[in-house]
Order: sequence, then structure tokens, then C-alpha cells
Amino acid sequence: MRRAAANPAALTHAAAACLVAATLVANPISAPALASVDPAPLRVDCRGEAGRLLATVDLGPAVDAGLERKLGNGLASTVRLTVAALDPSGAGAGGVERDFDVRFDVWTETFTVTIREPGAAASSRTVSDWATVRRLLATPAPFDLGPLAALPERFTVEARLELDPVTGLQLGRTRERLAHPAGGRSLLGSLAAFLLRAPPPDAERYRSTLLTRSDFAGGAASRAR
Amino acid sequence: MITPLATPAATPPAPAPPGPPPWRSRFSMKLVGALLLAATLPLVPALLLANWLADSNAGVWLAPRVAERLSEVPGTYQELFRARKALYAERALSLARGLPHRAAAQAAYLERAVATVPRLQHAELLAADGRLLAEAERPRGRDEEGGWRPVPAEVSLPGGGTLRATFSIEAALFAELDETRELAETARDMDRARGELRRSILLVFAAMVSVAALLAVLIGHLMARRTVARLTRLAEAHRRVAAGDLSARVEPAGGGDEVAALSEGFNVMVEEVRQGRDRIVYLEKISGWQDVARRLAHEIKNPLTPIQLAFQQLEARWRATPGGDQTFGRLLGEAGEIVRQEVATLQRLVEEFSAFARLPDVAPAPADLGDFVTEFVRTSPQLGDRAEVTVTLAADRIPVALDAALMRRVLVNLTENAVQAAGPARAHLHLGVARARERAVLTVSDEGPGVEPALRPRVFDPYFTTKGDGTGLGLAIVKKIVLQHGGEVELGARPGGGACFTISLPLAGGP
Repeated sequence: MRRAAANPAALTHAAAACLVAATLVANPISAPALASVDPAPLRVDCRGEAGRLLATVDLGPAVDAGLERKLGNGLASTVRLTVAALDPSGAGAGGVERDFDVRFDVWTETFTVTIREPGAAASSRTVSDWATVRRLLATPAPFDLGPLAALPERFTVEARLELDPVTGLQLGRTRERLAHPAGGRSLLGSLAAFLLRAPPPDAERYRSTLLTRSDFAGGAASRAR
Repeated sequence: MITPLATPAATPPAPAPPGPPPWRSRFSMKLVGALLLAATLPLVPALLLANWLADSNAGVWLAPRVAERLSEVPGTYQELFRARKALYAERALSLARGLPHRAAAQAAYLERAVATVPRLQHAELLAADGRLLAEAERPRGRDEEGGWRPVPAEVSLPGGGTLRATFSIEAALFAELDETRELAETARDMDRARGELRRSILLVFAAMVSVAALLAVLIGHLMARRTVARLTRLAEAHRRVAAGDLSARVEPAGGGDEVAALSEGFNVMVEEVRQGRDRIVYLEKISGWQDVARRLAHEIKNPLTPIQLAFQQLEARWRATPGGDQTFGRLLGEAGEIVRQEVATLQRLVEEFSAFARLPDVAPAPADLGDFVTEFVRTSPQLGDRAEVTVTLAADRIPVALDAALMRRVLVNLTENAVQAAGPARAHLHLGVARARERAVLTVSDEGPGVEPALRPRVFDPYFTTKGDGTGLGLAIVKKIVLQHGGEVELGARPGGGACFTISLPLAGGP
């Protein structure tokens, strides 16, 4: 049987195969798929105001003792709360994102909560008890979900709560540590830092029942579970 | 240099099919592939090792338990701080209990307290209305090094008034706490990005493997290109030879390695093949010309005798008839002279043609080339009459296998050629015998006008002559005899002027 002649394309294919093999070896550490967990029920109060939909979510079930323990451990933590209106199929873009930076000072034994939201000035409060912190997190100020006219006729409100999301700042800090592992600069560390991506979000989801847009046209309020 | 022989009668060689360029020859690909394999194979276990190391490192340093335990450290500090605070509150209370009632003794009491109570930095006694009654302060740096942070403890005194005590806690604890917290936060961040970290580290290693493989290909290609290019040239020359082009040669560059030796061997082999083919072609051509010469001799020789006899009869009849026309008699005499001369010329031609046509096969016998030349000169006195002959012999014997009669004819033809080239002047002949490159070399040179370089390739062709009365057979006979001896003959120029014929013969008993 005549053997196929070697050619540059074959070599290129071989090199590509090596790369693919290497990538396959590296593949097990690729990003895990998002867990497709059904969202928990969400209680939300909505009202129309000046043609816009304002939603007040109740995240009481999410702000539990476990979260208290995590936020009270003395480390700076961030609770990212994202509220969005979705169509019945669950599709919908964006949402309003609000970060709660919580830091418990083990010396003064007080919580400092800083609330940050794009387009708004950050506000900071120092409180001495968890109950206040819990109230800030569980019943945050209403979220402006945008013009009512832009919403589908029937929609749900979804709240995503993520503890300590890997922010750009944290990612940059991790990259810096990779690139300078022992104070000096590392070429391989720099390469690894360059290739480091943000991990996929790991959020708890809560979703309301279906709401009807026309219910809020006249500034009416509605509560949904 | 060997003078090119007559162009072979064979059809011109077909152009050799072009081979692949060196960079994509199969051999080159195999070499590069082997280097690539040799370079990347060790990297595969290295990649697996890196994977394992990244995995185990991630397991140790980025384990969720590590981040979890680190996150609990600030809580430990919290407990420590609480304990310190309680301790200092207890000490302040104890200090308040021992406070003297006399105002004059209170200041001294506080002075003693700051000197003796551990960590007490400052103490002050305030009246119910907030007025300072007494105060004492420990000199700085007495028992705290590296800074301290104040811890106030206040005790309300019975009957009004307040005792304010300020204790110290090491600032280093807070620095340690900050560092630990930062470390814990980093561990937590890295724990979140653990999967991505592992992926990026392995991708870096995979990139390194790829770069190493690429470098291996590049270096392999560069290394293989030179060797492969030489082999490709050799293969190309091989193809040309196979297609009949015996002028193909390979430059044996490369520092005397096997490829260079192969190239040199190839060149020698092709040269021998070319010479053998030229010899065969020339002998075939000479054979054809011999047939022509035989027929010409036959056709010319047959009518010569009747012509001669007829004219002799005519002259006899004229002499037997008295009182003839005297004018006719003179004319007949002149015509008879012309006829006899031309017939003689034709007879000489016929003899030469016949001699050329009847050249016998060579019957070689062992001889010494020097002795043969010496004997030739000794037995050719007529040569000495017409030329100055110089003979230069080798120091040692040069054994050859030659047919003395035929080789003598070679020397006769060459020396006759030289004598004729000298014209009326006395010729100067130089006969030389030497050994060169495992060949016996016989040179016959003169100091005549020589032969123009453009004519040299044709001088051995039959019937080619530059002399008015030559037959053009002498040098053809020379070449045929030499070729039949397995040798070569070439014409060159003698340094200092003149022609030089060089005959090289195989050494007897040689390779």
C-alpha cells in the first residue's frame, strides 16, 4: 500500500494535534458549567412610578445564619444583588446590579456596610448589630427596572445573589500575585496571569411569579410571590 | 580536463523530471518529523506531570479548607481582643476598688498603679462634675516596643466620679490581623478562581510545549535543509544520469562526510560511464569509417590497373608507329606523366585506406612503457634524420600491456605529424614517459605551431585534416589503437608553444 507523502500541511496538523492534546489535558480544569438549579421563589413588591417599574425584593430567606457567619468573619465581603425583569421564558438582558460591601471589624465589633450601585453615589453605614445589616440586605431599597413600556406584557422578577463575586479588582490582584509570586517578576506567572479569566458567576437565584405589565400602568402596586 | 569526444549518436537526453524542492522533500519531512517527535515526546509526560503538580498544588494551596480556615483567623483575633478587653476592664475595676479616699494619696496611688499594673499606660480620676482630680502616665517605651494601641476602660466610682484607665495592646496584633485578613481574602479569591488558575497554568505549560515543538520543527528544518539539499542535488543528478545526461555532476561540499563521499563516488562513476560510452561510440564510428575506407579502396583500386595498362598500350603503340606527329607525341608524353602521378597518388590513398580498413585487433603483451619508447627511437633512424628527439623517462619501470606493433604505429603517426607540422625546419620532438594517478602516461610534443583550441576536438575524427595532402586517417588510427588498449588520448598545448599529445594507459596489474 502506498504511504501518503509527508507534507507541511501534515506537520501543521501534527502540531495542531499536539496543541489540541495539550488543551485536552488542560481541559479538565476548564470552567465548570453553570448549575442549572431552578430558582427559589421570590417575594417582590412592584409599583409603577412615572412610567417606570420599581421593584422591592424580599431576600429574607437568603440572608440566613450562614450568611451572617460568612459576613461576620472579619473579612471584607461583597454581596452582589442583581434584579432583573425577565419574560416568561426566562430571557432578559442586564438588570440592576447593587453591591453591598460588608466588613466586620473584630476590634470594634461593628459592621461597615457600603452600598454601591452604578450611576449612584456610594453610601456607607457603620452598625453594631447584625439585625441592621440583615435588614439592609434582605429588604434593600427599590430597584428601578426601567420603563414599563420596555417590559414584556407578562414578566417575572428575578434576583440573583452572589457572595464575593470575583471582581475585576480581585482578578487583577490575583493576576498580580501570579505574575509576582515572590516579589520578583515571573515570566510563566505573567503568562498564566495573562491567560487567567474570571470564573463564571456562582449566584443563588430567586424568581417571582408572573406579573402583568398593565397592572402597573396607573401607578398600581402589586405583590407577587 | 578531458577533451570532449564526439557527440554520441544517441538521442539527446530527455530532461530529468524535476524533484521536489528541498524544503518539502520526503526525507526532509522525515528528519523534521523525527526531531519533532524526539522533542515533544519527553514533553508529554512533563505536561502530565505539570497537570498533576497543578492539581496537587491546587489541592494543597487552593483547597477550600485552607481558605475556610484562614477566614476563621480574624474570629480568633476577635476572641483575643475580647479577652484583653475583659482583662483590662477587670484590672480597671480592681484599680478602682483600691483607690484611697484621701485626695492627697490618690495621685500617688495612680503613680504606683501605672508603674506596677501591666499594660496600664494612663490613669486619671475625674470628679462627678468631670474635673480632673489626679492623673498618672507611664513613661513611653518602658515595656511596650513596636507601638501600642490604647484600650480605654472606665469605672464609675460609688458616690460619683470616674476612673479612666487606658491600657495598651500591641499594635503588632492589628498588623498581623490585617495581614492575615488580606491573606485570607486572597485565599478566598483564589479559591473562587481555582479552576481558572489551574486552567491558565496548564495553558501556559501547553503553550511552552507548543513553542518547544515549534522550535524543534524550526531547528530540525534548518538542520535538515542543508543535508537534504545536498541529497536532493545528488538525487537530481541521479535522475539526469538516468535520463541519459552523463554531464551531470555533484559538488561534493560538506566537510568530507558520507554525503560528500557519496557525491565524489557518484562523480567518478558517472565520469567512467561517460568515458566508456564515448569509447564505444567512437569505436563504432571508426568501424563504420573503416567499412567506407574498405569499399573506397576496392572501388578505386580496381580501375587503376586497367587505366595504367591502357595508357601503357597507347604509349607503346605510339612508339611503334614511326613518323608520327611530334606534337602529339609530346602531348602524349606529358599526359602519360600526369596519369602515372595521379595513379600513384590514388594507389597511395588506396594503400592508406586499406591499411585503415585492415587495422587488426589489439594483442597486448606485458611491456615496460619506457623500454618501448626507447626501442622505438632506437629503431627509427629516419626520425633522427628529420628531428631532434628528446626522451624523458620515469625513474621506475612502468608496466603496461600493449601491442607493440600497433603502438609503434601510434608513435609513427604522432611523430610524423610533428615532423610535418615543423615544415621544412628541423623538428624538435619530446617524448615523455611518466606515471600519474595510477595511469601510465606517454606524451609526444613538438615545438611547432600547435593546433587551435577550437579544432582540437575534431582532430581525431576520420578524414579531418588541416594538411593539403593529408588523408585525415593518421590520428583516427592513433585514437582507435589507444582506445583498444583501454586508454585515452588527448591533444593539448605544449607549454612554450607546440602541440602535445597525451596518451594515458592503464597500468598492467593495476585496478
